[in-house]
Amino acid sequence: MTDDTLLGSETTSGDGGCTAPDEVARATGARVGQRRVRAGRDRSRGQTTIDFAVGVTIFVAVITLVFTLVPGALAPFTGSGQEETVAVNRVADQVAEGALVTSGEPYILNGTCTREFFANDTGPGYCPYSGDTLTERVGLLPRDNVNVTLLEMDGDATEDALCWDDAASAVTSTTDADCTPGSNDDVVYRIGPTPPRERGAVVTARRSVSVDGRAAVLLIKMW
Amino acid sequence: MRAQAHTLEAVAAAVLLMTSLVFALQVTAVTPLSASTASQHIENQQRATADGVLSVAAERDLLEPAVLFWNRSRSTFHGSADRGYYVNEAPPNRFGELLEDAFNGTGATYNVYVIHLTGDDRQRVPMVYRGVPSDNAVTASRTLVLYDTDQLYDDPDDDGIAEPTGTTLTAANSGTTNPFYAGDVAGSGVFNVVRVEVVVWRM
Repeated sequence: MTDDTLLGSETTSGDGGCTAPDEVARATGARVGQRRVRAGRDRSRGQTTIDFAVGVTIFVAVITLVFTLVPGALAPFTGSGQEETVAVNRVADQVAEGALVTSGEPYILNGTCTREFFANDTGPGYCPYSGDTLTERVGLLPRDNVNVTLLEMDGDATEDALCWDDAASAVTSTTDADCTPGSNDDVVYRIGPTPPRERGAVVTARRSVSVDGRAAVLLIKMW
Repeated sequence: MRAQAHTLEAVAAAVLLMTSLVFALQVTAVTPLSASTASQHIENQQRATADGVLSVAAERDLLEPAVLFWNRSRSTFHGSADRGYYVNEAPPNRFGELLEDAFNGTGATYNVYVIHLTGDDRQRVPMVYRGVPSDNAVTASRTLVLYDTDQLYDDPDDDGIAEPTGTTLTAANSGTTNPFYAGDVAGSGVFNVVRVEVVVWRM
């Protein structure tokens, strides 16, 4: 129904007379006694209010979904330390099977060479590693960050490093009171800078080794 | 002129689109156990750790007592369940202690098999069996020679350290009752050649 029929139906008002509110209503195009709203929800379109509500809901939901899913789809492609993964494995293989092994059996470390390695001293001539700094000895560049630790293999979750107790000439744990690093040549079996706290940045390699008849875990961290 | 007369058509089209999207995403589900560079790295560490555990056990002579920790009267390993192999606990000797210390708390579990020769074939005896390994399991093995004069081991004082019992392997297999799980396959002083295999996978 168009505007032309407005005049023909003016008698639908209650008293039938041309009152002032009627004329004002006619001038603004509003139908008296019958609500007609213009903005956006025309009667000429095949769409009820419910259709509109459903459509807007779906639209908003899809927009939200797209903006939350797309960053997640791109997450695997952001950099994650690929080269450190390869390097840490190679360093672990070299230390556990080559640099500290003199008996020919891999994973059985020589006690003297291990002690000199962690004390950052030049060891006796029969030790297979050479170089002055940690990165030189394991075959990395000076700008690479690597931390080498020998942990006690005791099956619990705490990571206690091993320690060389010079007074007893034996390998003990750092939790033992006899281990006093800094005094009388006790060496803690940990060398290299401390790894950063945030977990995603550090790559770890572990090996089971034996040093001085004691089972230990060799832990190499790179970041 | 418009391609869409009713909103319901748009709803149906959107539902089809979302269904195909969800289907495609569900088909390629990525879980923590999916194969990736990180899981390959973890498998490398597990294989190297298992190798190291076997090397350390061999150096400290812990493999032979574990392989010979056989209870003749029950035809099982000492302290194992009736099936003949350990399921929940590790072997109650120092080799089992080494395995527990190495793999406990790392989220990995393991099977241990002893593979021995029988005539012209090989037979696999489970020592520790914790289920079928996953597709990403790794293996490490070590060969061991058993001699005719080697003795069976037992732990009578329950201290976790196996001790020889005095029954040699030839004596154990001399009668027809309660033999050792491996037979004497060589005429010389060698009894059998066994391979200890450790299979490790992530739980």
